Amino acid sequence: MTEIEPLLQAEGLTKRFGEFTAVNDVDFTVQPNETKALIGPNGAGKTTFQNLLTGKLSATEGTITFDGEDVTSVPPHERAQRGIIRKYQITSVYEDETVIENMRLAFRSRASSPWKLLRTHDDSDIRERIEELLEIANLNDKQDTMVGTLSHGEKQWLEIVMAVGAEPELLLLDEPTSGISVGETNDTVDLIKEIRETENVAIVVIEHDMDFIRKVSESITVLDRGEIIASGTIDEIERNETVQQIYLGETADA
Amino acid sequence: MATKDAAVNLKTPSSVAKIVGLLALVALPLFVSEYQVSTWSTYLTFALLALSIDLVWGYTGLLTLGHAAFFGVGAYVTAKLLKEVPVVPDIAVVFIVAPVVAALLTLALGWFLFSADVKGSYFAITTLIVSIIFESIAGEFVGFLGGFNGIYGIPSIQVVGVELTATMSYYLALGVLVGSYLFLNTLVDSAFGRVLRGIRGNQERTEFFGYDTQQYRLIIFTLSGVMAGVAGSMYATIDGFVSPPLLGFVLSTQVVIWIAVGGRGTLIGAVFGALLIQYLNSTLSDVLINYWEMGLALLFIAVVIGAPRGIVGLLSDIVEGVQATLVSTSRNEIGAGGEVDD
Repeated sequence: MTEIEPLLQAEGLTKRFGEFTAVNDVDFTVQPNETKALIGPNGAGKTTFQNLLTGKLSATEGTITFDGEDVTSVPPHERAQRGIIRKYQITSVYEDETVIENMRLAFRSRASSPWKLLRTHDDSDIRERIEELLEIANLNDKQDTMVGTLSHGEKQWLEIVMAVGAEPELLLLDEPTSGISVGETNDTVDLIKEIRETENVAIVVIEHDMDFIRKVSESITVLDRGEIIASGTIDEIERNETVQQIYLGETADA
Repeated sequence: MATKDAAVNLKTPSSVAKIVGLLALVALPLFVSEYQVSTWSTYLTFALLALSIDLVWGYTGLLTLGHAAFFGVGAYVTAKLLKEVPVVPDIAVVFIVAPVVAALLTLALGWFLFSADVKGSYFAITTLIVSIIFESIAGEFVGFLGGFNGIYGIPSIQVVGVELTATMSYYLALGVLVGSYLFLNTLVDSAFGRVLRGIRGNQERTEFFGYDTQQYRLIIFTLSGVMAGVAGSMYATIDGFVSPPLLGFVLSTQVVIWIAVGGRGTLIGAVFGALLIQYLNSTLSDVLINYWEMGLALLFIAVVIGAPRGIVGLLSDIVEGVQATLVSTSRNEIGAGGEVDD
């Protein structure tokens, strides 16, 4: 074996909105079980890029290959069924349901037909695994809590373990630290590390926070104005002058 | 947490209340006139329509203001077939032809709306317009559908040569309502029902977990069409008269109000609200005349502001509160009684 087949391969991925090019000719590869970070200033096209990967937007040009198959025009729910699961930047959980109901919903999502779910009344088969994941998110004692009453950080962790519960092969984490405290950010780091160690999953973290990135990922790709301007290890990226100019300068302002 | 056998669990106050309510409905024909039995039969068919709307609005979050169209189509199909095509067995008209026609309509409309991802207020407006269109079509076709005068003299249904009496029709309607309720109760309590609540809570999130929400929405919309079709068909055989308002948006929105007052997304709230308001309507409109409409409007506003989960939700909160204070020592009992609006 000379080369492992990549899990995800985006080639020449381009998205235009009228005259504006949000994502321009991006090549991006994720290997199985790899953790990568995608960074870039506001408006760099990070969210658009993710929307292309998950199918929320369709690409103007380019192809996306996942698990060796072309998924460029596959609809979102089918991409999720194949194993591309995202956590949203703005926490996206079911506020009016309990923690455990949120988990169960995520768990039943892959490879289950409506007709099969109609006959599914017993959740004991997934109970153990749910508790295992709630444990690493420190939410096990809140199983019956309404999600709307959780703290912002807790909601973030819940959405992350829900996404893991959906058995992803590729997990996209969009700003897992957005809007949470420093203490909670450390817990998020621990959670992601735990997932890296115990789960068989590739992770792409989209973030602003360099300190956070340093703790969870060795490999970084920098996006600016819709184009990849650098990729490499965290040290390489920090030494890169273009990156310093556009990205690190921007964080200094923020 | 939802208990699996909530519909039949005798220990909970809600189940006791449901069984008492059911027994009252079963005993009703013994105490009222035949005319009133027929009136209550029509209440039951509207309660079935309310159940079908609660499935779509209460559980899946799609506010439909057009369900009277499917109810009315079921009623008109039944009127035409029972009067003019006696070859088809009556029972097949009510339980096969009417629901199939209504289902085809909801399937076609649903496919059109969901593939374009029409939702929120646009969904409400579009379904409302469908109802208006159907009502005016029925009003226009004077020769075929009787125009604004509708179709009179629809016979009661016959089962193996025996024409159903008012009381028999009442029990048939009650049986269909209770059966539908039990079936839907199982449905919403399944993992499928959880997906419906997921669509209601956050459709995109549900989609991006891998659920084909378009398919789920289409299934549920069509199923509700089946129920509305049967309800309308039974109504036609009981009342013997169909007219354009049965398809119209006034009926559509009225039923939505009944559900809101009873308690949206609980199934039992839809049935309770439908029966309560129809009963009050018939008794109070004689006494209060025009003031009744105002009273109903005030009741609706009061419920929307004071008890957003409807009367059923309010009652369940009260029962829970009383239990929590009285039985603070026996935690198991509280756990069992906590789930009321299943």
